Amino acid sequence: MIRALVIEDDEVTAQAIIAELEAHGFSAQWADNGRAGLAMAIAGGHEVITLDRMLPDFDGLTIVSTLRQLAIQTPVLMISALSDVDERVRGLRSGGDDYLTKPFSMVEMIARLEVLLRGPSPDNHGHCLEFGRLHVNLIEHSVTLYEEAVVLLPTEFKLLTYLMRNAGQLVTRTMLFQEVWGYHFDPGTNIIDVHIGRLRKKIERSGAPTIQTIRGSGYVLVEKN
Amino acid sequence: MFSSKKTDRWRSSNSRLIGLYALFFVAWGGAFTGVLYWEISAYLGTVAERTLMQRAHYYQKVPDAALVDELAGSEVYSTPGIDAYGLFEASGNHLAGDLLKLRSNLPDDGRVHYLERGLSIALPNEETRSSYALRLNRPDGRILILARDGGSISAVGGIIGQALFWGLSLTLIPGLIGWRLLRRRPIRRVERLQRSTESIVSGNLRERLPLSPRRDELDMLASAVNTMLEHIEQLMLEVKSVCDGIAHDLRTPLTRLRARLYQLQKLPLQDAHAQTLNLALEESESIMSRFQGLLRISELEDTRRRSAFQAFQPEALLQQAHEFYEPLAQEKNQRLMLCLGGEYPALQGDVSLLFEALVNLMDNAIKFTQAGGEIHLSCWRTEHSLTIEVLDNGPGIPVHERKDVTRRLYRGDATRQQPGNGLGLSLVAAIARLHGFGLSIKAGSEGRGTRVVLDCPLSGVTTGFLNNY
Repeated sequence: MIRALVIEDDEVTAQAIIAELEAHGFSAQWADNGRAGLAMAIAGGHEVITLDRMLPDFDGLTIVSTLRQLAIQTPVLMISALSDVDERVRGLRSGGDDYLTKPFSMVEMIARLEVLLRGPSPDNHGHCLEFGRLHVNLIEHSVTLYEEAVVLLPTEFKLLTYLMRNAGQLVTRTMLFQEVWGYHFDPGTNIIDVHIGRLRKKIERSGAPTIQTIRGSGYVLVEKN
Repeated sequence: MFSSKKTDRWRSSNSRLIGLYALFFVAWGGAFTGVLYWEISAYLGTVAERTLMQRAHYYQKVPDAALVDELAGSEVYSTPGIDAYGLFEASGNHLAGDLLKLRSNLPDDGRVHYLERGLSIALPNEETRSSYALRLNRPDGRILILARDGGSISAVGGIIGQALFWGLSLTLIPGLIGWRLLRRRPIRRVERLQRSTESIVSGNLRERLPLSPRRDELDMLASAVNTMLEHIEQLMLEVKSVCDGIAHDLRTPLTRLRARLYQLQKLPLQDAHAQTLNLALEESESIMSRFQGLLRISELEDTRRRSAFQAFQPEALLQQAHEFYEPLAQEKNQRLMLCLGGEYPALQGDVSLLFEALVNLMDNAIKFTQAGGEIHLSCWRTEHSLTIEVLDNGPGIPVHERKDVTRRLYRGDATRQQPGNGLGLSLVAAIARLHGFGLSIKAGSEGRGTRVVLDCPLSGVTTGFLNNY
């Protein structure tokens, strides 16, 4: 069971986060203020931390920078009511691994936590990624499926590699937009679906991995049964 | 929108005053020397006339037979080159004297006349000069012409002209130097004030107008404006802090509301309840998207965001926007064309925000253009700016709605049925304002479709503004 620490001063939000974490097989501990949160984080025993940006006693930035100074590298998802781009940059610079703005969807939070838990994924075989019969060469930017070359546009290639790195895991539209296009706002349209649709068509083979759409949430690259 | 035009040097009040003064002085000097010249030349003319009349009276009394000798004898005492005479036969043949030719235009009325072209005098290398002359008919039919040089009047005219020239030069040249020295300082101060004002207009409300230690009228004005700016900044900070407070206070309850609805969704519910719950969740999504949109626009009003500005290549941004939307256009059977021409200069701005603006514009173009339609994303350079245009051949925006579409939450009559929250163009307008770009919405070619134009000035406050941070 994955142990998570929730540092959040608002009880209702904290309970909702904990309920969602438990529903996804996490065991969660809760700290409702900065001081207790920092102490619990330093004490250790957690694999991931959700950290509110604005807290009584110590604020989120202080907590995360203290943890990093103490060489505690537990992944931290910062959650904030401050959506300003500068705030996001500040949060990540202080040592946060990802940043989520309130109000957020629980699906988005879990998806981001899963990615954080996986950590910076090492390539399966050096410069290659493999999932089922899909094979990606990151140096040559080439993709083969059942030993056959698949021609992908640069954007499709980026989408596929991100999905392959997080294979079997839900990735949301916002995460894809952030990773593939490099922007942090919500494009607010079905445009990501269209890009995924194109990619899906190109890698569609019987028995090959497929990109499943999770309605209202995002996508998962899965092995076809 | 912003331009730091240098003040036109002739428009300063000092320049105008000095110019007016110089004009007045030149006119006055000209009138004065003119009157002087006229008076002196009249006086010299009278003197010449009297002398000639005296000589005429004298020779009238001399008998014809002795005239030649008398003339030769008397004229020995006259000044050579100034006084002259000529004695001619009735037929005009020269008999005696320095004047060799009888001028027919000299009236025969016994009075002195001024001849502009003068009389020919038998002196070596002597040119025809202006002169006063008198014609006397002798009883024996001979004609005596007495003349006096009129050159002294021209000489007086020359002297007065020179005096005028020196007078004007000695007054105007130091005047011009003084004007230049006097002009420079106030103009520099006005230019400094102008720069500060432009920075304030572009949103840097922390900027103040510079004051000098002189405490003159410009300082009094600048000081009054600075006091006004203090108040405005204070008010804006208060409004922002209230808005931030509201935003923060609303974010948490919205997060809670969504959390509770999701918790509810996980419970075993009857179909009707689950359906109502889904509707409630959709509504909460819609509230959230509007709320996020409104907050985002408010954030953009805070021009401190300019601190994140950096130089970027517009073609890369446009290519990315084109690639991003091309699949969607294809799916709707539309043609999305990217029209780039040549190299573009780098722009200053926040790439992420500008991409967001383009995303909104292209999303609208694709959403409202019918299947089979065309959308052009173009960019071209004009002398002072770079123009980015999104043009479609869809139904277009009615003229009376074009101003309103950039208002927050506004939705046109024809678009109410389409998905959206009425914030897209407000966001584009806020991003354009933040960057100092012009945004205009027009009809497409031949009055059909929509043409949205972003006009990005190449030089201006945006660049200079960065230096203040």
